[in-house]
Amino acid sequence: MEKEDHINKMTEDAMSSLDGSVRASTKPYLMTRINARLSNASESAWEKAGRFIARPAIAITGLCLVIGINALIITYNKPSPENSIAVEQQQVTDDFTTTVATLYDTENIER
Amino acid sequence: MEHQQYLIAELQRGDASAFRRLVEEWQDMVYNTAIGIVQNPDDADDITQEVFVQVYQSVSSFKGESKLSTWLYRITLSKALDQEKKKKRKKRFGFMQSLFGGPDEEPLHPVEFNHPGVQLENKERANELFSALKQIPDNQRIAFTLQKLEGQSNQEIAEIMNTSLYAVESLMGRAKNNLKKILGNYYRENSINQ
Repeated sequence: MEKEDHINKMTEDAMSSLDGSVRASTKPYLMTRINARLSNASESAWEKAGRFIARPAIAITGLCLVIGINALIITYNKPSPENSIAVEQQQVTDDFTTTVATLYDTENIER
Repeated sequence: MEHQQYLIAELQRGDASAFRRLVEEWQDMVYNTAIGIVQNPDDADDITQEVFVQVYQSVSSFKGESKLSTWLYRITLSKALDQEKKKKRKKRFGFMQSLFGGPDEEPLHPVEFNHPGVQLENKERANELFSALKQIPDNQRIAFTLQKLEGQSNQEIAEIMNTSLYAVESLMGRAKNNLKKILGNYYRENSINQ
């Protein structure tokens, strides 16, 4: 019984331990710290965009997207075997042709 | 009240000296409220800065429907609770890291918290009370902290918490009962161990 009374007394003491307390004060130079935060917070839209793009998740996703688009373009633009023979033949013809198109020829054709 | 309206009007015009006056006038109120919730001086300092940054950025949208102090209390409490959630998330992540052999981190909250404004002879009991406060629901803790540390009346707490007077009285009652239960159990366990 005595022990329970003692426990109740300690509980009541703890419950009233904040009575008469005063406000805690901030550390000095709070205004300087707030101004520093404010100048950090007022960064330009370009800075914000830069920070957004530099995030690892965004950067990696962007990189994967670019690689994926490139892969898709390469896959779709793969020349068919018939086309590649025709292209090769044209290249050979172009390489060994002796005809030189001159301005004079062009003007003659136009007439 | 008139002084506050004048100050808000100056702030909304972007007057830097008005902002300085606001900070000087309310910094201890904001800090004291924050430290009562987060129980960590560095976190409370961070929250105080964040509160005034938010005030600076959003004062143009303040319509003056509530008192300036009520608005400041609301921002402070919301930031303090956010900070706590962030800490808890970090703690959980730290625990997961330790399970997978990550680096050992120091505890996120100090085991003992001494509120700088508490009288010296009450420090030990106040420390136990603050530990018990961590274990009760947020709204009970807010009501109790505002009354005990900030000396707010139930009516003012009701305005800050945007609730009825009856709800605050009920919250206070439950907070006191829960705290007594937690403290009683703590002292009982301690006396058995001794």
